[in-house]
Amino acid sequence: MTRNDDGNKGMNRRTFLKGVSLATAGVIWTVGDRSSFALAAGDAQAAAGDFTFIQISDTHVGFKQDPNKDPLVTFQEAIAEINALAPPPDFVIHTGDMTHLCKPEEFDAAAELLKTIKVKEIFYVPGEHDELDNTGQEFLKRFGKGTIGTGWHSHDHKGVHFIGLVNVAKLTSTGLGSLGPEQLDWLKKDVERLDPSTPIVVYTHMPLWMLYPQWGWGTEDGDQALSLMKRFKSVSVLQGHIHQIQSKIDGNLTLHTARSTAFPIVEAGKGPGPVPDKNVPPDKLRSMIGLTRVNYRGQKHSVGIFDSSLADKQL
Amino acid sequence: MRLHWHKIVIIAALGLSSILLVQWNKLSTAADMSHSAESMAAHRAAPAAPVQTAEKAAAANEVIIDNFAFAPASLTVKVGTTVTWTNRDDDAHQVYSTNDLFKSSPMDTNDKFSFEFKAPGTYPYYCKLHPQMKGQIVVQ
Repeated sequence: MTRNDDGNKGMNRRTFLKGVSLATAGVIWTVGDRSSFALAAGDAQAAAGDFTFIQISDTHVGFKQDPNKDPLVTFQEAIAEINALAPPPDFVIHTGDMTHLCKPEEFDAAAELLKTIKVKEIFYVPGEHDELDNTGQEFLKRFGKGTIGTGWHSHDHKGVHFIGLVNVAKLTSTGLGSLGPEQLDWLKKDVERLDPSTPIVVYTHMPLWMLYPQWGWGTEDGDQALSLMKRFKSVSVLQGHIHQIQSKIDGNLTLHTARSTAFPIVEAGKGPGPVPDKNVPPDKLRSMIGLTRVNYRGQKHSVGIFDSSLADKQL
Repeated sequence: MRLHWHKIVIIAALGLSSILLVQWNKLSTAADMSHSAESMAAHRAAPAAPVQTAEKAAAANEVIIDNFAFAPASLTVKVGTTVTWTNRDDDAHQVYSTNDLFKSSPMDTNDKFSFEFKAPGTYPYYCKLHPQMKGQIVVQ
């Protein structure tokens, strides 16, 4: 399908715009070593060390407005796609806004559905909607086992280092996300022991880069986190929050936002604020929500990020 | 379509954002300051914030949340008034007193929240979900 020949030459305007057009085509970037490439779905023989994981984001259980009055239904459809994958993914990450209003019954309904995913493990980070109880406890007591602080954590899987960051526990007065000094200190210690050749995958809710700060689409101290990871050969950052696909590549760093499984949000600047796109007709909804699949290829140390909408009916 | 959108973002990143933020900061300085420790004193010293919007408001004790803004942004009421916020927006919001005096539950579309102001003063607040949304109640 599409091919990214720019490899690791660094970001330029052409690369950036090309990334955008590829994003709409549904198959996008890979990062890794010099032989960066994009894989068409199912084209590769799995080799030892290869694995797949799925990102699900912004399930917004409890949302009742147009264009999706019952996000539990589309959440279930998304799960059915995950469960149809063969071989199954090694794990799933949920990048926050699991619930719409942080109500216990919303978390419980979400938890019931998450149990039906046929996968060994699910890793979680909260979104700002999951923190509306002011303490984050509703989220943490269900999904924060083994995490630190407001829910941050890291784990290693087949040679890749995964880091879950929380940038929604304290938003800035201008509405940006923030990580805070305690988490940044932890992150520094977490990565300093790693060899620069270790591929890094970060997942967090709000964009770590300044995507559209007027709407709070960014993280105030995100740059500090990214600078701690500059020395690594491959860093991929997976985010949610904006309910639409956006990507940025800068050298060995790839940032990517996933769709929601509930509803799309209007494009930046095209509304009074980041509102649900309520004008999406019912027959178009599923083409604007979906999941993200990530393939890791051990031999090439490459991370391939693939978005699919629920209308595609397969991951 | 998507390409065009990105040009907008690039422009915004290069220039627009700073302009908008500067303008916006001017508008919201009073509420911003209340996030810091010295803010209380600052608020008492300087009788803050524009009141033009308040004068336009018909309902004397009502704040409407719509289009990611509180209207009026500054509402002046008499001591003992119960102020009601109504969320008419398509998104959820949550009213949070900057000084921890009052807070709503997360408010879905059409949800309401009321609070009685028993003492004179200036009560800044913001939206927990979108802290760039700010307002204040002035109680006389």
